[in-house]
Amino acid sequence: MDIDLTSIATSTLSVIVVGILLGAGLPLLFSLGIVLQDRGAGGEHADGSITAPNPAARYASWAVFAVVALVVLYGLLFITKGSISHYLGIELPL
Amino acid sequence: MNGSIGGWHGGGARSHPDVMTGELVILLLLIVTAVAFDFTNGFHDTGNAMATSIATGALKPKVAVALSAILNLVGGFLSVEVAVTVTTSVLKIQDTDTGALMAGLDAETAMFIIFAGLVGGILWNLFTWLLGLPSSSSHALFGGLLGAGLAALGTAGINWSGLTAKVIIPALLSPFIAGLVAAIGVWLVFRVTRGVREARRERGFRYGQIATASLVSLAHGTGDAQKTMGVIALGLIAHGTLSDQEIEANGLPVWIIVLCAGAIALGTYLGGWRIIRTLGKGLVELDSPQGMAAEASSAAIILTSSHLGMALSTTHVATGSIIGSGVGRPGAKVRWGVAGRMVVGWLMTLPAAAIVGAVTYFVGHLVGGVGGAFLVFGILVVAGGAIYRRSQQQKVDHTNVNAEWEGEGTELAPELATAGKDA
Repeated sequence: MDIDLTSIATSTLSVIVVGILLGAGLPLLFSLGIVLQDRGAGGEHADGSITAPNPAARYASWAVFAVVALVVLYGLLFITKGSISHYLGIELPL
Repeated sequence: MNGSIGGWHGGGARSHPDVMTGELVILLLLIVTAVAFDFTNGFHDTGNAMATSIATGALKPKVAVALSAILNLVGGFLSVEVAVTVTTSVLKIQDTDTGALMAGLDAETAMFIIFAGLVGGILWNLFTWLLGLPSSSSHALFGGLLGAGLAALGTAGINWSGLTAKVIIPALLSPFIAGLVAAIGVWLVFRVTRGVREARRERGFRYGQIATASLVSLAHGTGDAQKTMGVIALGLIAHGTLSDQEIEANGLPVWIIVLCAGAIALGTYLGGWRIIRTLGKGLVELDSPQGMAAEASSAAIILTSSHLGMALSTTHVATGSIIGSGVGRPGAKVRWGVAGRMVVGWLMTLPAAAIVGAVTYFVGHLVGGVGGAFLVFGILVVAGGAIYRRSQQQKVDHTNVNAEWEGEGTELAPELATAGKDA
């Protein structure tokens, strides 16, 4: 048996780090968008306070959602880059 | 599509004039069985992607399985660089680089090993589905191959270090990795959105949930349909109809891709409702922020892990993520009894599928030839049919998949049937 424990440990660590960056980072970013959207809408909040609609917060929320969408799009292209190169002959620099 | 791929089949058949031999019959049964495995792989894993969206109501059950099926189909077609070395992490019957069969292994033995391995994988998949337990289809396949390989070649035929490093260790680690990522994600989500109005939060995260669940479905189609494609290709290589050089040059014959992508999509559409229910309702009571964090964690890990040198099972990752989303949310309750049974199921997957694979190989080998192959196929049909009949006594489908979860453990109790009628 030749099991390379060091390489298993390294892979595990990188899976955890990348997992946290993308798998927890994206929901965090998305949450930020939700918060901005909630602020942007104004109206009556859970604590009973009433705020005016805030267009700046609403625009910012769309910007945040756009970033999330771009990351997901990158992810999609990343999964499909082999097939894109096979069917369309385009080599994506991902 | 690519003409060179389509053109392969005719050429291959012409170069083998005596195709209607017993070996061809065995090969055909093997292909049918492989497609059946792919189908069980589909419905066993629908829940990995869609259970959270169904449980939180982000998608209606039928819409969820249809979306997942389409994405699995697309994913299957995206599999152009299929590894035909699918058995190399557990067996020593193929060259690890080219996928060619090891010298000294005759066609019939090789085909029987693959055939019996598939039967072991299918029966374990069906049995765990009956119990509503998510278990890894890749592990079921590896277990079946392991048992069949042991029965045929003894311990020398097993790639022990591959089994440990590429199958067992990742399986032990993946639920913890996924659980950690999802727990951190959920904790952050609830921390950041604590002032947001509940209805807005719930609605907003539903979109995120659908998007992340779609990513998991697509990744599943690309990853898992490939395994069956690899198995069928290996069967063809063993039979001599296809060579590893031809695959290297032209890619897989297109009918294999169509068959496998179609089977996994159909399986996904039928939906393993029993497993969806366990994942979505049994483990943790989920709401949409949790669902999104769980699927984001699953998607991120499934999509990146193989590039980072560690291939993790979709099922282990998805389950770990869902549990993590319960652990990370303040005040949420995880039904550890259900989780514990899943872990027992995972630990049993390799040995149980191996036993079925080994017994099947012995039976098939004892009779030998076409008769043995038909006998093995008959065993599969009878055993599969029995499990299906048992499942019908307590149906779980799209109408009762979200019924209240009773008790601490797994179900398969009479309450479910009545709960379904009320729902």
